[in-house]
Amino acid sequence: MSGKNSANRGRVRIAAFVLVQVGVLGMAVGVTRAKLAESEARARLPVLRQTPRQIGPLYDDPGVASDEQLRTVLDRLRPRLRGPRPEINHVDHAMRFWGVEARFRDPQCLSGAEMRDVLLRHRKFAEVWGKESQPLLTEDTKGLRIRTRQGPATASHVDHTLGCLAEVGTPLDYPVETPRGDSTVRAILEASLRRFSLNQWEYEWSALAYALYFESAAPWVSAEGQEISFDRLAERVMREGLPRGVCLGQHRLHALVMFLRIDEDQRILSPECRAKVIRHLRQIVSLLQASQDPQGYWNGTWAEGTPPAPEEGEKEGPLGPLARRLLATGHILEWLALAPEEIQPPRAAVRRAGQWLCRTVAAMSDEEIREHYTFLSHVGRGLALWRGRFPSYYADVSN
Amino acid sequence: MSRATGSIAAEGTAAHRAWVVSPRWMLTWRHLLVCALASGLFVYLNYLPSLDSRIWLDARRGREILAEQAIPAIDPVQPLSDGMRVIDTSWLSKVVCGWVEQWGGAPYLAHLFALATLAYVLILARVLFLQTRRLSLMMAGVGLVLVLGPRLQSLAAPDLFGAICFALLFALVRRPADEGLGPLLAQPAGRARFPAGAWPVWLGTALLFVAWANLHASFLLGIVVLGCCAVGQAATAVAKTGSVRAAVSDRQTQRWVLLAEWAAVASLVNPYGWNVALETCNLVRNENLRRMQDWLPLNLSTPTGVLLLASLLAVAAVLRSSRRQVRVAEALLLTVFVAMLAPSARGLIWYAPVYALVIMPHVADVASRRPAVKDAAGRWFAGRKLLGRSFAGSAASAAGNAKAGWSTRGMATTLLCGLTVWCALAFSPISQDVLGGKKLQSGRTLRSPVPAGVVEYLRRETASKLVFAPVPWANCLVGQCPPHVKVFMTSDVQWIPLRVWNDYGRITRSEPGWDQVLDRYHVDTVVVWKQHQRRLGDALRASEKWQVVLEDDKSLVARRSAYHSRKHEPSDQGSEEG
Repeated sequence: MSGKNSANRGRVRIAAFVLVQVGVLGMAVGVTRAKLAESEARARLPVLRQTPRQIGPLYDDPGVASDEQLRTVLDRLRPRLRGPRPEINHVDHAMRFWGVEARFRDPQCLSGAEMRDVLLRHRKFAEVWGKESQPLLTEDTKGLRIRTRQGPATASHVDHTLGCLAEVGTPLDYPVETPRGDSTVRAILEASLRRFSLNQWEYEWSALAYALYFESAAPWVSAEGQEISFDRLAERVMREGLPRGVCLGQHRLHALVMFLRIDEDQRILSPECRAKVIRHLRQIVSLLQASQDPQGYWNGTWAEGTPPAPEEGEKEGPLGPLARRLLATGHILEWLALAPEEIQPPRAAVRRAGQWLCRTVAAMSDEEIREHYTFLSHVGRGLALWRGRFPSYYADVSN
Repeated sequence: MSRATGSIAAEGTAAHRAWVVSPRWMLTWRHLLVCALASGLFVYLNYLPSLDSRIWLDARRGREILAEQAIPAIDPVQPLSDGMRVIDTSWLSKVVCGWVEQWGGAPYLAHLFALATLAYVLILARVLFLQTRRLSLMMAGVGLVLVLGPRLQSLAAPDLFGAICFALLFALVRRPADEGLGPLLAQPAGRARFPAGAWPVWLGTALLFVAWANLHASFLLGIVVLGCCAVGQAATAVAKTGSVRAAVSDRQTQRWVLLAEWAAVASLVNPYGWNVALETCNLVRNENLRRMQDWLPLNLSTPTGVLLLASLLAVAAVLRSSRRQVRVAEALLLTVFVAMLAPSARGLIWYAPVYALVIMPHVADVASRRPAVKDAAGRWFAGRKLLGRSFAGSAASAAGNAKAGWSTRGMATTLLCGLTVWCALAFSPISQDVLGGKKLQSGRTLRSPVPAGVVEYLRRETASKLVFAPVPWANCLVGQCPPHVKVFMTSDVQWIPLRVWNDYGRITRSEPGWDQVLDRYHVDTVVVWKQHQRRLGDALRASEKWQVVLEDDKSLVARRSAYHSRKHEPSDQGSEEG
């Protein structure tokens, strides 16, 4: 009898042990799966807008450029890029400048849509660059990307083309034709997000594209495991000294202004960060006021806060002093046209700059314009924005 | 009369009893030898002038936690880690370091290190002694751990606390009362009993794992050890009966499994809960860590690698000679901990004690069959009349003398033990605070590897600066400078983005574009360790952007020149093309 009881007890003990193990195992698997799901959710890319935000001009000041002056400038800056091997750097700048709606009667000019086709349709790209050229659209482990900094058949800066596509309002489902098949702009943006590092060399256009395409301000986690918010992006933009960065640091300022403008519609910055960005930009504007040449231009020494002596302090780079002046002044005028009133310098400074640009562009030879087209695209866009319109509005005027 | 006599006799007996010391307090020559070795080790450790630089970093982090009364969710010393997920699996170790430093300053960190290391060695020694019952084998085992493991002074405080917990686990689950070898690794067949009255083991395991999970990520290895024992026990049961059901119904197997699960549950008592285990697994895969010198795989052509190979050959030789049955748990443990060396040489911290604990019982078995070896030390004592009663007349033979001499308890030996410990204390830096006395000269106790001038220079800084310094020095600087002095990165590389780690390498090696990398992070001050960064020092001297503000034979400090602190040249990476 007692032997039977003992056997029963043994069976119960084994059953209890097995049950405990099943429970423990089940709990361990369940919790691990939940944690992994949490981890995956953390690594998920942010929700994107189908159509990017459009940030328009705020001012219309004929003192910056009169109708006549603007017409002259824009006429000089038509995208005469038709023909073999147009530099991709020029194509994406021109597309950003004129917008995809622009059409020109001048047969030498590419329309906005044609320029976008060169960038996003491999067949069109191969048509103008030849089949022997390496494709502009390539794929790596992170996804689809636009080849960059590998010569005239590639974009000039990281995510520059993506930023341009965002600024001209390209929807995410816009078809992209790669050598391997069809895709969409979304694939380029998502690959950029997967590739992005807060400390990468060039981040200005990535930041701009994200700000325009993101549905909300929710942070996302980069491939390095770093949580990226627009506050962090803004801090990153403000971290480096000036005028460090591409185009004498002007694209960093452009990105900050765009953050502020988007933040007015939908909060993407914390109040503290917004206040910091405004303080930062005001300091920049103070520097600009102090460093503007009486003629109206800025040059490579704008961040020093003292007016440049004619040649002093200006390095003779491959581009020369004129190019540096056009570069600095065009970019500054462009982001000032989008900046809120609280950041603006006295309007007289902007008018001086606008007038100098109008005079200078009018006096430039066709050869110089071709050579400095990328800088000049910012000049043309900046002047048009100061008249309260996107340049595409004037496309017919320039015909 | 008789009553009086009886009373006197009773008083006499009481008086006599008052002078009788319990045999527990009478120590043997064995104890004296252990005391001497431990004291010597402690003096050596306490005099080590340079410990791993991470101790400074850990103390700083500990101070932060104590000040905030919370574990920081962001890394306060590495601004470039902003946005990275910070899960500090060894926060309690840092609190201990921070608290000790707050209490007594940097020298107390050295005392903490010496005491913790001594504790680790003594716990291991105790387990090894209980496994082998031979003083000589215990010492040999401890020697093996010290030789096979990493250098003691290279251990960071969390590693050390983890190692103590690891040793404690073996001490805990091994049954000290056993005459034979403990149940964990080497219980003789037929005595496979889980400790009777096992509640201290269950309670101890819970407490150990609660502490361990907060002290160091190695608590997972403790669960692995228990798991190996469970699997080993189950395999043994299956081998005996040929039935899986028998393994499931085996009480020993059940207890080991439940103990492993109990340990896992206890380890969940930490601020991060389940995440701490996942984070620990992620740490092993962390790409930044895998590029750190001490996380690299073990190179078999190095002296350490050769030692590892030799140790494995020695296992083969010993097991061949040993008559003891090789237990599945032993084989599993050895296999698992050798396999852990493949991805990273850091596994040596854990491999060394496991190796000693697995092999020494077999060595004991081999040695027990060689009486000549066994009694060699004992014969030295034979015929010697030391301290009268210790050996007098106790030896009928050399071996007998030896055994009696080693084992005879005496008050004099106890006093000698006390004297040894006292001398060790008196001659150690720790005595300055306990006993008072003349302060040791600078450099005779813990010191930072960073030249004092560099620390002083940075302490004078008033504004928040980002300082680029070699990682070992950065660890010290964050511990020694005010909080507003931030460093590019410390040895907590798991919390910084990979690109920052790569850029650290570019700057250190002064690769082309190094100064633009410094610009990109807006580094204001660069500290150069000349011995390892000679090229960077030369490059800084030659750069017009940088101004050398301090230089000695060991270090160089350069600041961004006043002009370039505002103005930076456009990057070659970011050309001017719009």
